[in-house]
Amino acid sequence: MLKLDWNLLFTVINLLILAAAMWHFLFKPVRKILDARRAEADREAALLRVKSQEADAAKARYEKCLSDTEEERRQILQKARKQADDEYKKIVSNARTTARKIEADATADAARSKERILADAEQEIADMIALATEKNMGDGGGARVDHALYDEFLSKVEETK
Amino acid sequence: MDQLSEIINEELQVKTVFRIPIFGGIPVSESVVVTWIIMAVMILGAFLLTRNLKLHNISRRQAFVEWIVTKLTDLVEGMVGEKGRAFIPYLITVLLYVGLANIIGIFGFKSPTKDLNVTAALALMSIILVEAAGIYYLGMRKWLHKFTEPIAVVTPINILEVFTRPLSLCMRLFGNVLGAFVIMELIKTITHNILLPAVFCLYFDLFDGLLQAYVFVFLTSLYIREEIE
Repeated sequence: MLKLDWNLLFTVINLLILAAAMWHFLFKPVRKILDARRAEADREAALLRVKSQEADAAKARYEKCLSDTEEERRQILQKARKQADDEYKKIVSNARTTARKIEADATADAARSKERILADAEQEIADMIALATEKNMGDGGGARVDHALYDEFLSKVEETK
Repeated sequence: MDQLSEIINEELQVKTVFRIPIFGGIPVSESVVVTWIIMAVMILGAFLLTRNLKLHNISRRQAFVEWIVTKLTDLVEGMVGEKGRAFIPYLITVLLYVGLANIIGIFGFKSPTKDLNVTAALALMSIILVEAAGIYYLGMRKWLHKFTEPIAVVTPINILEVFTRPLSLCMRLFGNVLGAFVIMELIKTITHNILLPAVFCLYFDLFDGLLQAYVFVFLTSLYIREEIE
């Protein structure tokens, strides 16, 4: 029980054989599988990182595109507004010009009509004076004739107004 | 009491199972033969558990073996440190072997750790591993210089430690297994019912056996860690 002999050496040999066998049959295959799984997980993680980077890049592109579109939209809107504004100003200007022209024409027409009416009235008055004078000179009808002529003159004037 | 003494003496004797017929007949003891049985069980178990390992769609058997190896590796790595990863398979092997050797008495075999040759061999292997690790990681010069640290006057004590460490490892394991066995035999002799020895058997044969295996590996790991860090 308390003596050391050959069995110590046998136990050492047994332990060495056991350690080698356990390495070969247990640790090596299990580690191989675990390492392979870890390597696969690392590969998938790396792949995921690449995919994530690609997604980030796509997102950045999309955001840039969105920003460009927004800028383009803003420019188009600005241009359209400017065009509409120009068109509006042009239409208003044309309308004003036309209105001014119509007003001027109307004023001219009115002036011409007035002058013509005045000329006609003067002519009518002159004719009536001439006719009255002629009649007065011709039959000498007295106050009755004067009144009749006077009434005729007034009715003519009323008609010309 | 004499009968008890006889039983204990009988149980503590390491019988020679057979002799190798060279150098006048080399005796092969019972502990070596039981160690072969334990080795056969461990190797067969490892072989059966690690057959057809797959990367995907693993079986329950594979999940179990992966779990047990990972857990034991983590346990031993926690003791030996990251630098001592190379020693983990050997330390786990010793843990399993000593654990099985301590509890094999339950199955009717004589525990190999009751033989001083076995515990001495384990301690010798551990200390060779510790010093070899020191030389490998530090280099011969630094390893020799370590004996003079922290001051030169303690060099003899440090050299003595090379021998006291394996001695303590060996005797601790041997003494604990022997003590547990003697106590169990005493309890079995004193009590006449089956319940009390069964309860104590759980502690002395199972718990203490596994605990001593853990302590042995823990101390070896600690010595290796001290040496390489």
